[in-house]
Amino acid sequence: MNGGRIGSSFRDPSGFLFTSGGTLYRQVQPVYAAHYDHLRASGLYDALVAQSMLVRHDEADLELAPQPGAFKVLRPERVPTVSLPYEWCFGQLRAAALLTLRIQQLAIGHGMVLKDASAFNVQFRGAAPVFVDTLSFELLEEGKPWVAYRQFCQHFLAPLALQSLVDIRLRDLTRIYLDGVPLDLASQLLPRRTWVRPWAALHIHLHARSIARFASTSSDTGAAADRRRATATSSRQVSRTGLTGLVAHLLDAVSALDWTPGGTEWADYEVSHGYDQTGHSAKHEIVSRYLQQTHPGLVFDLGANTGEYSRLARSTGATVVAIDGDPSAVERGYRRLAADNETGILPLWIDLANPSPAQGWAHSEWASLEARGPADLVLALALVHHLAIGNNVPLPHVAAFLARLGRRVVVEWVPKEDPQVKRLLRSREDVFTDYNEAGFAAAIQQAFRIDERTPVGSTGRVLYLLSALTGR
Amino acid sequence: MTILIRFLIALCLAGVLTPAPVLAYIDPVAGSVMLQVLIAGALGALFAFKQAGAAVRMTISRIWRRLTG
Repeated sequence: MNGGRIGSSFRDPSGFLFTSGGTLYRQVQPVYAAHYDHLRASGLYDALVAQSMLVRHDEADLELAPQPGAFKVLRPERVPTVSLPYEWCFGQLRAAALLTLRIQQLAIGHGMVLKDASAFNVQFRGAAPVFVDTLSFELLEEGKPWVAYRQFCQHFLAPLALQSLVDIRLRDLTRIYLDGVPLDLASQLLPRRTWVRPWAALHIHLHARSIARFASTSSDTGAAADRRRATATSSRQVSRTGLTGLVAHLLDAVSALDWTPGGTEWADYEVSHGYDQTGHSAKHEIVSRYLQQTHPGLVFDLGANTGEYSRLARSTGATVVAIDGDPSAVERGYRRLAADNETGILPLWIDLANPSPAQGWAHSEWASLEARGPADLVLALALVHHLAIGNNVPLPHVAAFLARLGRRVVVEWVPKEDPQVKRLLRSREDVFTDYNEAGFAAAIQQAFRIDERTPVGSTGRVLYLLSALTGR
Repeated sequence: MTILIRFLIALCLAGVLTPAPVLAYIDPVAGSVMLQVLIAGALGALFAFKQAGAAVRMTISRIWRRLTG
């Protein structure tokens, strides 16, 4: 982003994000003045920042405002790398949901509420979730229902329930439905037995039916339908205790949802990668040396598994995005990082054969994975055979993609004789005639300069340190 | 279930609820607001009951510690 308004920041009339000279700012509009003043004066902002629940901001010069009439210009603290809810593992979405509800609880105690409850309002500093939308708070009006109740259920409760109780892969519904999983769809997909769980019956099944009931009257023009809609949308009926009870009930529901990562094919890779101890140590040593040579600030670890090499990169001072397509591996990695309070490694569950595209309105709301790079260094260890053989991606295409993601790349060549490649070829015809090291070297030289080539002991594998020919 | 929802809606229409504007930039969706209005009272009571229970347990535990400590 060279400057100007951030693509996703246009829905809320309270303000918007923009960049100037590489710094992120937020213009606050006069309509939000009373809410902002209360956020600061009530102590809510200080309480949230003190507990690392909300990003800190400074007030900047009003002259920086790109639109006239600004009430304030804020300079929020940036998170190292932006991640999107459809890239999070189960544990990350759950942590983001709990954060949102705890913020809502704290806000109610300070006479405010969240006026939206979008999962996109949460980012991660490593394994720790943090709320990034300072303008989400509004003054609590006694009796007013929580406007963001449906949004919370669609963005958090429904996808968590579907992943936990049906299939973890239903996470990908959140990539299609950017305003959360429609509750009627979630209700249909959840098992019938969930009707006996009060949280599911109330917040998903009955919720979906209530929405459908009123939507079905939206085309009515009769006085009865008008009365029904007017009553529903303009009622002062939820007391502060009721609001607190609703949030507490949602908190209990989210806390009770869990998912146990199973022993999928690659989740146990760290203990079954086919290396003997000598080969493993040799690889560790070479990657460590390459890291020392390159001193990267930002590392994309592609095919990170549970993050062994992400931790190695982190130990050199880099900020790491650890990407893997296996939900169990990412979940295990995330839980380990969360237990260690790690703030420099961000695990993401992304299928590299289908990485996150530019999404949302005009393709400009949410950036593609590539647009969030390039990283100073990409680690592509034990990855190429998955793309080239597992997904039939030609080697030159793999090389070109890696060159778009990082300025420098450490890539591991895994030959056909390797047990992991044999495993991929076990049940299929070997049509990969160009899959040999000469073919690989020719492919990578279309996009990179080869800085170093180091065989990994006697394993037959080779590590390359590369520099992209056309950097961004 | 439909009967239950109809009953609850009828309850609202009967004037149990007092109208007031809901202002927000996202659509709260009529059916969602209606459900929330209907369940919040019960959930609030449940919450208050749990809080009271926790307070009683804490008091008993404090007294017990004092007596045995």
